[in-house]
Amino acid sequence: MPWSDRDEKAFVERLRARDERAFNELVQEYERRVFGLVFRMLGSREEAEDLAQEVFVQVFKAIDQFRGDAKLSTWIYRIAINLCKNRNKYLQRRHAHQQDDIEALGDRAPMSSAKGTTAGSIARPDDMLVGLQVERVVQQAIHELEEDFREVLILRDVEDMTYEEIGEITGLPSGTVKSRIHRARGQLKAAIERKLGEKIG
Amino acid sequence: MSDVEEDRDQEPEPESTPHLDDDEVRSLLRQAMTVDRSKPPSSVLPGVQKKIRQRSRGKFYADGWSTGRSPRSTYFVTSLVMLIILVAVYFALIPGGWGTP
Repeated sequence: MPWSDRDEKAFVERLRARDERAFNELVQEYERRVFGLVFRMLGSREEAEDLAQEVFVQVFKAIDQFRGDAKLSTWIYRIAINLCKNRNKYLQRRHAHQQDDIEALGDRAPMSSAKGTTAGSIARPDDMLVGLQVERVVQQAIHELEEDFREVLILRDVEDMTYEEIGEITGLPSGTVKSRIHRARGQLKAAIERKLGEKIG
Repeated sequence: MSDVEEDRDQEPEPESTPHLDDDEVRSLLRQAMTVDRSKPPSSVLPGVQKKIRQRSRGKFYADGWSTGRSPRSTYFVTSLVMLIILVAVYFALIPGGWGTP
């Protein structure tokens, strides 16, 4: 449940005083959202669980630097996004960027009639497999996007954030956020169409 | 325009190239990015507490009391046990109590 400004201010004061109970409440309030965001950014459950923990450790360490200009949630998301970028760079350097959870879905059925198919809209088992394969194509496509594009697209289209919130998290002006989202959608659409075309063809 | 060119203009696009509109792309993206359909994430709280305890060298989350999810029950049980012991000791020590021959 979102806090009012006054509640949030009082809560932040408890965090600044290193009140462990307040910090437990913070983790319980935000853990699902933070985990969801970092999982989408990294594509690996194991990495996401570890990084979600790091996000909250950073919050605990750096809470004195939270000035209250933005919402607490925005500040936490900013930390999460920055840590994701660092982790991705580290993983790429180590050649360990294996998106095991995404890869695990596997190629299990021929791809046809994929347009308009999502796992949520189908019932038969063979349709379910097609739906899962379409999801896999989309997951691969989003993870092939440049990181800056992937980040704004996930924040906007999956996390339902406003352009202003995305601007506060990424440090970009709203105009740049809008144009980046537009270009990211175009690139994602082209990639999905190409991949689906290859599968069907 | 020659007949061949007309035929080419009328030729339908290959079926293997799907065309998606923005709403379909958004819907596919949301569906594909769903996290917990098959396996919900476990709580990160114990891991966070452990990391903070280690990195602060025991300054925070050191006592083990504040690290539980519901420490109130622990406090309550401990208080109750202490109360029972105190009452038992009191009745054992007062003149004419259980301890008097």
